[in-house]
Amino acid sequence: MVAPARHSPRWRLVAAWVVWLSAAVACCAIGYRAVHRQADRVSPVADGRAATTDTWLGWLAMDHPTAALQRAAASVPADKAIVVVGSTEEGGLSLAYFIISSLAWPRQVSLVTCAPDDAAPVVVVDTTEPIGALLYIRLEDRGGRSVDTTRISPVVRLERSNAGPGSWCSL
Amino acid sequence: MVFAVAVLLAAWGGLGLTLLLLGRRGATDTPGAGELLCLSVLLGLATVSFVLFLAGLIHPPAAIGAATLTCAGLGAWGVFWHHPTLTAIVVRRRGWQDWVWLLVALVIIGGTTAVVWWFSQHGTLRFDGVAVWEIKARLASVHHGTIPSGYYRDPTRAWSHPLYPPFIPLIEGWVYRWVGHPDQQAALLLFPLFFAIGAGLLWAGGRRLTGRRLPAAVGPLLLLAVPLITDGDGSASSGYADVPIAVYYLAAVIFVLDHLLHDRASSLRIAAAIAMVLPWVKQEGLVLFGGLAIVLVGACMLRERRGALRPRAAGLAIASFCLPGLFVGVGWRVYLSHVHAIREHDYLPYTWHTLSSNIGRLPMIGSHLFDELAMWDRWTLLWPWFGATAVLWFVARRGSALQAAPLLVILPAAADCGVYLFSAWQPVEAHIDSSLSRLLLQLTPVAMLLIAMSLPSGRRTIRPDLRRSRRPAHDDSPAERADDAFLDDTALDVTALSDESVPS
Repeated sequence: MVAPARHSPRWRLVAAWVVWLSAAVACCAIGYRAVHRQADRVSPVADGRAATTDTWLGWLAMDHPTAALQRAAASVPADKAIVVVGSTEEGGLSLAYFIISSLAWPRQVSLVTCAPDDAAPVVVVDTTEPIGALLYIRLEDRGGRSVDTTRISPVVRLERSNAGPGSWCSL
Repeated sequence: MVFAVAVLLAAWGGLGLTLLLLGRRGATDTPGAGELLCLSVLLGLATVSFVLFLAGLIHPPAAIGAATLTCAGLGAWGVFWHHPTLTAIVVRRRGWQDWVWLLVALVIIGGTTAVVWWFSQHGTLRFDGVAVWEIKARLASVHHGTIPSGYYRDPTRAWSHPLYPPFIPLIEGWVYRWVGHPDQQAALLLFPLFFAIGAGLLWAGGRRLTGRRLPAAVGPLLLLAVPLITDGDGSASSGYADVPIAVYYLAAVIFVLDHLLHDRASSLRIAAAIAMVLPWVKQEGLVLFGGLAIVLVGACMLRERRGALRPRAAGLAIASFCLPGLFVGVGWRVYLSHVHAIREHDYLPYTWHTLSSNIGRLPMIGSHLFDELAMWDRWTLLWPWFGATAVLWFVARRGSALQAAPLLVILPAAADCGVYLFSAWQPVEAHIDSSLSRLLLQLTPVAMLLIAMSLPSGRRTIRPDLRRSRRPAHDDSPAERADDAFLDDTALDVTALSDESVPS
């Protein structure tokens, strides 16, 4: 049921093929080379079920930071909010906050930054629930120094406190 | 292993659904086994996410059980009801050439997927992969597979875009529930799977729409040549929703074009089923869905005006395609309103006043677009090549059923750029820089498909099985004859611009 095939003039077909094939070869050559360069740039990542967040939180100087922070958050009552307090100069703070917030459900998680030599906190993300705990990241000299404090790593501590904003960044 | 069980169970449900949508088919239009597998996974994962969401509205503790039972039951129903179709697909008689091409397909698709898989296993989820999608998947994994409504109202989690549709989190949550705990490495595996399906569909779509094997083989090879697909924000190794939505869009485009070309009702059913998932994957899905709908409506109206389609049939085709997707898009907005989801402030009100006051952004948006299209380290030569292909396509296929196909890339791209007129970001350039490449990524597989279809061909074979059965015999307009020519040869001959596209 196939009728005789008609053919385009040979030279036009050859020209079309040459143009198309050249584009394909150039496209693949440039593309595959770029992919190869991407592979060279891949950096080592953490292992395990929380490989991504453990890699991102590596700067918090603790083993399995995702699991450690999830355990710490779970120690706060579910109807109380956690305030993450960090320095305005801390580059990875936002990322850490996002991860902590994703681990702490159903607790609300607020973000507060403290500027150097300034006791006034900057509330970046506010909470509507009562405060249950303050999670300090690399701010050893700040806060109300609650008695009920858990040290999660050398640079992270959890203070179970319902202290108000006035003491969050106190020097 | 458990990951495979979760995906296979979804695919089993998708297989049943695909067979039900295909109906009883003839030998000429039965899909290949690979195409069937791709459709099964796509429709199966969509089914899982819809069932998890709906069951979560009614009785959350039963959500995982409901999704499992739905997949098992749907698969059994479809396979039992249409087992002759399935048998015909699986035990199709194949010659040695078919086996050779099957081997080539496995090598190309397997090889390209292995590269993407390597990147996913040696990298991490990227920012949106965690902060927008994985956070919700974690919630789903500890709430019976559903996202609790309280999340949408939580002001401290507004940064995670609660208004984004929940397809990706729900299927990640589905995998987490089967694995037994949140596992970011398992979530990362989902995205190379989408890449593999995209490569498979490029193969199957090239074959389906051109009737030739070479364009089919070229598509997946070209797909891997786009560096942004393998690594970077939005890539298939990043955990973003852009590659999944691109693959759903590709599948919908293939079956819309197949319907326009071959007038197959089953293709329209499958296209509608897949297109309705687009607004469910990401907000931009509405733009993609709209682009598809415009092209389909235009083609149906054109054919109706030529007398090739009855008005009622045209209306039915348009309604059956558009209504499911609209239902999903509107339904999601209604749900968000119902749970009093917090408002996001990325966009200004969509009003005439906003448009007129921001119209001055157009040159800047255009400039960013052209800069982006020319970034070889992200796109290689894709966009210049696609531009040339689109121009030749419009000229060479004048009056054919698929003449408007390049609009399926151009219209969504234009709409995506137009949305920046309503951006509330300051400066708006930051919004463009952070999202334009990902919006273009969603269109990349379709652009690849059209480029592969434009592979030159000198042969023009008459294939009676591809002709429309309902075309009135008296219609002999030049445009209809152009359609005939197109049906005879669905491959673009770039050298045959004027004298062969409308044969005398």
